[in-house]
Amino acid sequence: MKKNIGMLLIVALLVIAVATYTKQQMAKDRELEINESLLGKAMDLNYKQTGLRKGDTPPDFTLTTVDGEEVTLSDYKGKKVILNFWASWCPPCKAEMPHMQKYYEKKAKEQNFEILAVNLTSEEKGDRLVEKFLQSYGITFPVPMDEDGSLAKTYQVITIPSTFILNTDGQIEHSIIGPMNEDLLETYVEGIN
Amino acid sequence: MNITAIYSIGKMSFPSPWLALVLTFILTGIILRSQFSKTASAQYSDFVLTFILVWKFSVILTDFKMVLQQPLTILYFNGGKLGVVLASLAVFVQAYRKRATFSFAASAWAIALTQSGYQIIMVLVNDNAQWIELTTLFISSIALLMVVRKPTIATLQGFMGLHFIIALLQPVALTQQLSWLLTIVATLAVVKWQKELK
Repeated sequence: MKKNIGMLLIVALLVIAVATYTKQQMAKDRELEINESLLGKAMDLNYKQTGLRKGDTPPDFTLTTVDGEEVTLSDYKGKKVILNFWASWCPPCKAEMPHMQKYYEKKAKEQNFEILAVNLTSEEKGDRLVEKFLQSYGITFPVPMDEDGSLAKTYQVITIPSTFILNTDGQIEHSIIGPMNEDLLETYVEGIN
Repeated sequence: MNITAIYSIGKMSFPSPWLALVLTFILTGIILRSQFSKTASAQYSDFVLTFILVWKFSVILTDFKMVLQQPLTILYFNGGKLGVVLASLAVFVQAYRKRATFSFAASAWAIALTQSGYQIIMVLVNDNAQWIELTTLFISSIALLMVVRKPTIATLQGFMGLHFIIALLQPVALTQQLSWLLTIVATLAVVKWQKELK
């Protein structure tokens, strides 16, 4: 009898897999129906929003970068955006920076994305620190400064590094906590439109 | 599969393939344990351990400069895709040295369960075009059942062929699909070792 235990397990697991998949698809169809039967955005009121979720358009902002230029999030529609929140006292944020820079240099044009690395300036000990850090790492993407910490609050960024990946329509596709290397960044960015 | 799901535990996010792979490893281990000897599942878990350790610490090789600058890089990152290749190499070396102790049936089951299991779980956790998901689910299941029902060289080669079809359908380039490339290498190796024994 022992011979068949593994086989039975496999068949049982396959049945579970198919059932799960069918259930998922049915749930998705139902959601679509509901969305179609209600008028567009009115639907949003029915969801209890806790933080930013997939498919949300995050609040727009205009900030000044370390280089003194103004950036507005909505200007980047048509491009994918990697919206990163960081501070120079945070070791994983620092570790992530060179990876973002490398990926930016190699693939930003080809894969149509921009990196906005929002610095939590209100939590920094001095402006020079950020500038020095960026110089020593040769960072070339825009680093907007969240001087009063209000943007981090709006985006409910608690742990850093936090990263939002937005699609070309400016909607959130992924929210990620923790540092990412080049490979992971590319995997996430390539998988969206 | 395009990766559409990211999970979080505490202060860390991880992509769906990690979850899929961990689940696959656990389920395969359990099934091997219930169908074959303790040795088979012990060997399998040895390979899994080698794979994970080499993948994680290969960042020392793949990002040597950064590790020197910031030793903590080892903690935060892994070897990425190159790390997966290096980890697989390590597993193959380990497997080569133990090839005489393998049961062909258990090896065939291990390969089939790992590859089909991974593909099926990836379908369940990610959100891709429905026709791609359905064909991946269907062909992976058929291929798996084919091998476990009759683990022979012929069915294992058939398995490889079926997964080639799945790989062709994916929205990701063939050369980027490590799971498929590794399945070929593993299958060819196991088939060759089996023929040597005869």
